[in-house]
Amino acid sequence: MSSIKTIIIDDESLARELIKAYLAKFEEIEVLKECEDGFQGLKAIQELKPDMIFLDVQMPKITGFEMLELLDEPPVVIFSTAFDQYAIKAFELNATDYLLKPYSEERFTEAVNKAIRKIGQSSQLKEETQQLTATRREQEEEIDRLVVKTGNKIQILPLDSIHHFEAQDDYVAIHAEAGKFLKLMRMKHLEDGLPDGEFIRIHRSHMVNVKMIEKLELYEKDSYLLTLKNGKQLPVSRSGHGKLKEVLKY
Amino acid sequence: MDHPFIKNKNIILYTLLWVLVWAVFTSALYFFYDFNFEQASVDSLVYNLLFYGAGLAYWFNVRYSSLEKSQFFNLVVSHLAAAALSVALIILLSQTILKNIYSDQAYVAFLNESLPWRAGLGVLYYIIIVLIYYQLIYFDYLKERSTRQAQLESMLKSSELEMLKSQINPHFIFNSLNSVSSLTIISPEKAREMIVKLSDFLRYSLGKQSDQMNSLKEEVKNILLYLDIEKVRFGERLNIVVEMDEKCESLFLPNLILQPLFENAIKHGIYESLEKITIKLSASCESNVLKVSISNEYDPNAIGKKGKGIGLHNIKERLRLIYGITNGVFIHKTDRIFTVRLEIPQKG
Repeated sequence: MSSIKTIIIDDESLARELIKAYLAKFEEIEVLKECEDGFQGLKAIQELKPDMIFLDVQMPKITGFEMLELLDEPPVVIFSTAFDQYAIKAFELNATDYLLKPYSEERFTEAVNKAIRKIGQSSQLKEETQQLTATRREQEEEIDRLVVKTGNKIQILPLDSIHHFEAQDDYVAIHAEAGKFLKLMRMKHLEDGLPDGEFIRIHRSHMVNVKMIEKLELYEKDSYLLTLKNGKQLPVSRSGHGKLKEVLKY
Repeated sequence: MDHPFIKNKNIILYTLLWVLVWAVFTSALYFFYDFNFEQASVDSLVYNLLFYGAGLAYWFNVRYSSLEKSQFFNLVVSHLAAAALSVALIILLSQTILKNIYSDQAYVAFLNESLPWRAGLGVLYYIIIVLIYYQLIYFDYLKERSTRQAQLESMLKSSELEMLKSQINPHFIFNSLNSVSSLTIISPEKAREMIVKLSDFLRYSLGKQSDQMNSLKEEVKNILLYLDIEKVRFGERLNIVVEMDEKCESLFLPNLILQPLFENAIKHGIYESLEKITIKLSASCESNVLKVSISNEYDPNAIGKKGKGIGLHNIKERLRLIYGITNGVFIHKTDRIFTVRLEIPQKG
């Protein structure tokens, strides 16, 4: 049996040491690299294509969740974090495992064994990890920034810099100061997660940053046209007009 | 404070009391000086009506001269002058009016003769009215103080748990325990050391009442313990600098008030950066104010998760409730360094 390649992504060196120490028992597992943040992690995963990763949630630059979202073909993931408030239950069902720091060696071994079994049946893998990211999206609380990838470059977009969103099939096009980006997600997810009053869904396929609105004019009877500060014009649906009225109080 | 006799229909009570005074005064003239009822009541009306008006005006002398010790002499002078002037003026006015109404010789003689006791009575009115005003001001002050106290207590009680929660981040504890777990394999001595530090820190932080005051020395000692633990977790990434004026060490501040500031510094400094981050604590004191600054470097490029500002808000709220000050927290931000300064008044 060929060895199982793994990468440890955690910003605390002692936390990584512990994982390495626990892994020493598993002869078939080879630690390819240790990473201190999500950027390094992403790069290492793309280059080294590990079978399995150990992932912390809270790290500098981008979180473990955000990193995972950017992967097209994520490996088997074992979360290792002190955060328990992200509905652990859901994770335990979908992530390969979710280790709450501090954890025992038995608990760790159990998680690794589960992962090894999963790697054996790698055909199901992709589907399930996608399910994991989907679950996270469902239950995520508030969105306060978006992380996107263009080629090998990762961009973090603060909400202030985003002009508007446009639905494009399975993707959402994000029009921001830094340019246009495509991200695999649904408008509904944005609508639920973005802070109230800062973004308005003005149309089935358009959502705008309130601060970017320049003017609203009657286009035809019962149909409005919204102009953004950058000159772009977007259609407003009837229900979108109602929401605009409510938020802008005119 | 508004005029206590005018607000809340108190004017009715005030008027009724004067009606009573008028009645007593009238009866005195009627029974002891053998005036007819009409003359007695008119005399009483003129004299007391003038004091009725003056009584309302006395409020301003009370209201706008404060009761501080340093101004005690000024206060006495102000009241003596007000009493003398107002009584003299009222007697002059009342004598003139009454002489115009009743000009018979016997009555004029009575008026002249009654001058001393009318003056005495006037001064007595002055004293009574002014004392009532002071009573009311004092009650008002007590009431305000007790509402503030009650507010403070209820706030402390209801938020005690909440505050402890926000002061000691549970993730800090779990992450530290994870580090201990790791150290037991790599270096058992360091693991023991860390457990002792963590225990000392928790004992200090969990055992305190929220309204308790502590010396700066104790607070800083505890904060350094906290930072020491974080240093085990983050190693070289965390650099601590303390600049403390020794004479400030014995000054007091509300317990654990610095904790959330250091947690913020760690969160925005260390959590968001891989570079070495310096967190600096400096304390100075002058003219009964303790100034404590906490600053942290941060990575200006990091687009961190925005905090909700609860920590700072809680600190402002505590300072307001404990000291009654609204301007104790100052924030300064440059493109690399974030600083929060607390100015804490010292009692006595």
